[in-house]
Amino acid sequence: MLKINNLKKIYEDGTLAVDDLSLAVESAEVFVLLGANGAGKTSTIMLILGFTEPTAGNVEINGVDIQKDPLAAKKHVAYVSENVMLYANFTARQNLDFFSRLSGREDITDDELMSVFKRVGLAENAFQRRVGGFSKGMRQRLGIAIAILKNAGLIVLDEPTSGLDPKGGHEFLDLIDGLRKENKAILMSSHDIFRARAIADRVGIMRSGKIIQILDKGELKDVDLEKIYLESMDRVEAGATSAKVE
Amino acid sequence: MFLRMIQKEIVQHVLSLRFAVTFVLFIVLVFASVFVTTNEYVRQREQHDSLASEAKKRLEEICAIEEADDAVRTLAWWEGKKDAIPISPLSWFGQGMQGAYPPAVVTKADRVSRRVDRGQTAAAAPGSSRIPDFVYVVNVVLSLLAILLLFDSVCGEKEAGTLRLMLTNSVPRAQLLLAKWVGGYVVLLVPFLLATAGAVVYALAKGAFTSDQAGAVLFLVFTACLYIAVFFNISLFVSTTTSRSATSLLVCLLVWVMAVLVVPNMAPVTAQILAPTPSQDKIKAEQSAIQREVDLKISRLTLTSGELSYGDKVESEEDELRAEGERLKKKWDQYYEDRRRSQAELAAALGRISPATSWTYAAASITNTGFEAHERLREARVRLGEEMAKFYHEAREASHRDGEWTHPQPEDVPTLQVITPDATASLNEAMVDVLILIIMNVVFFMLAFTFFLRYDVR
Repeated sequence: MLKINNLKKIYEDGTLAVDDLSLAVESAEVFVLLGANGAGKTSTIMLILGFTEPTAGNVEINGVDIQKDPLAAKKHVAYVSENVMLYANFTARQNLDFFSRLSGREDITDDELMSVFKRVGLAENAFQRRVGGFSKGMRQRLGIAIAILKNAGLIVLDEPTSGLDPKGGHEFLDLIDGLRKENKAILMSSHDIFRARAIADRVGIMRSGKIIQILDKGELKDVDLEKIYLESMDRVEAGATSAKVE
Repeated sequence: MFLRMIQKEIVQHVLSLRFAVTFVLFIVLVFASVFVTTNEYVRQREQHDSLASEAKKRLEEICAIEEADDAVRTLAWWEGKKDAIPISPLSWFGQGMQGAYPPAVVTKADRVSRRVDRGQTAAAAPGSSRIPDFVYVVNVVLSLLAILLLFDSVCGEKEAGTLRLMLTNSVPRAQLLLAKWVGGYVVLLVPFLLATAGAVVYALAKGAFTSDQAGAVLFLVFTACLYIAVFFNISLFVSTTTSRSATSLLVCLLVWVMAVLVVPNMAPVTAQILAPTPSQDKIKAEQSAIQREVDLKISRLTLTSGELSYGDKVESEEDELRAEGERLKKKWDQYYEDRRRSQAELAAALGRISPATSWTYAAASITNTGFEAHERLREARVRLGEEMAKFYHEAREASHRDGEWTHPQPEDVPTLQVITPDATASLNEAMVDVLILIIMNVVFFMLAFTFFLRYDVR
């Protein structure tokens, strides 16, 4: 579903954000990009979504190059950001309705909206409430609901559990698991190693724009992920974060 | 999808407090301005009618003076002919330069009046009226409200994170920007048009608006919409070049200050420096010197004739000297007018880099209260002065021929005839500024479009 080929991004100020990154995420797979701040996770996601142009390499979503045909590629990807911000003046229903129709679901009904709304764990009485009064956890759930309603093959989540309480985080992972069972390919960035271990089929540890190690489910059981991650962070803190290219 | 995005834009604005405040301000300010100017127009019209009636009555009294030569001299020299300055039928929308006119003018045969205002400089834009009329409210307040309502239309969505979420869908950026434009513009225009419609209904009730003004009023409102759209497009453009709402607001306000306050006021000052016009006092001094020379020559002529003679030959030579003097004085008048006109044209050209100046000039042309109308009134005064001189000259000639003065008839006395252009001519006068506003709209929208295609939504 997602194929990243030798992706490279050097920003205008010379910062090397993504360095020759190659990756594939299949349907019914949860791939977690694990890394410290500045490791290149968000830059990678921005490249996947076509928000920045790669310096080299390409991204294919469902076989469509995001740079060559962004509109066609975006039909197959849904996105949930670290801090889902919706139209505060709109009710949850209005937000869901607008973004669903924007994604091409012109035939969406209120019943379907409500069904997904409840599926993500939001109380029925919040359906007609303005999103401006929602907590972060509620907005994250609403973000997931929007992604579900889009019915895209690939769901990209940028640190979706940061700032959520343990219960909220746990429920969030249940939602992700449900999506995997619906055959969705899920790419999630995080620096939460415990949740990464709990949900991921594969974990890619990122440092300085590169995936330095990929661990599959079997390996995750055997290795001390925390130790590997902290070691990679130590290296980052030693000065290896986002190198500058002369 | 496009309609859905437009609908979202409209609903999003309508649900905001900012829109509620803007809506109320639009309604209150537009209606209040037309309320005030309509009442002022009605008062001016009544004053005009009363002055015209008084002037007519006084003319009849003068014409009825027992001695015919006294009647002619009272009209031509001593008292002069009084005329009420006509009021533009659309001045209830905008006062333009008309606000600076006296209610009536007095014309004599001895001098040709040039000035009809109360000291306004030649290069001043025709918007410096005494009361905040519709043109002023649109110029200053509505342009500011347009900016305050829409300064964050793109960068605000980026800050909120909703722009990124929208663009993860198969939404072409061009369509998104166009939807923002249409939605935002509808939100701006609806309260404005509602307020204007209410104001027109009020003017109709007060008798200020008549059906023959409908075309001009519609064109004026269309021009106002174009003017507001320029500031909307500027806001849109600025918001596509910044990533923070606060920065966008600051830049937009700076642009507004430059466009509405600085450029229109600096243009006349700059024009005065670049194309100076001699003062009227200087022109008068030159003309007085010519008159003194003429008077000296005439007194020499009467002295050299050997007696204080008023015979035909001396009078004829005197007339020639006077005519020569008038010709030279007229040359100074022409020189002054040429300089004044070129200064005004330079001021207009410089000012037109700002949409506010174009709007003010266009509105003044449509309401027939602008520089061209001012020129027509000035020319009418010059013409009347010449006709009064001719009137006196012919009366005197007739008295010489017939041996006695004839009583003037009121209908034979020249009157102030201001040429009023028809509606099409007024619209043509405004067309340059309307085109400038259209071009500004296209340029700023294209700039916004270009920048938005490359806008960093991260």
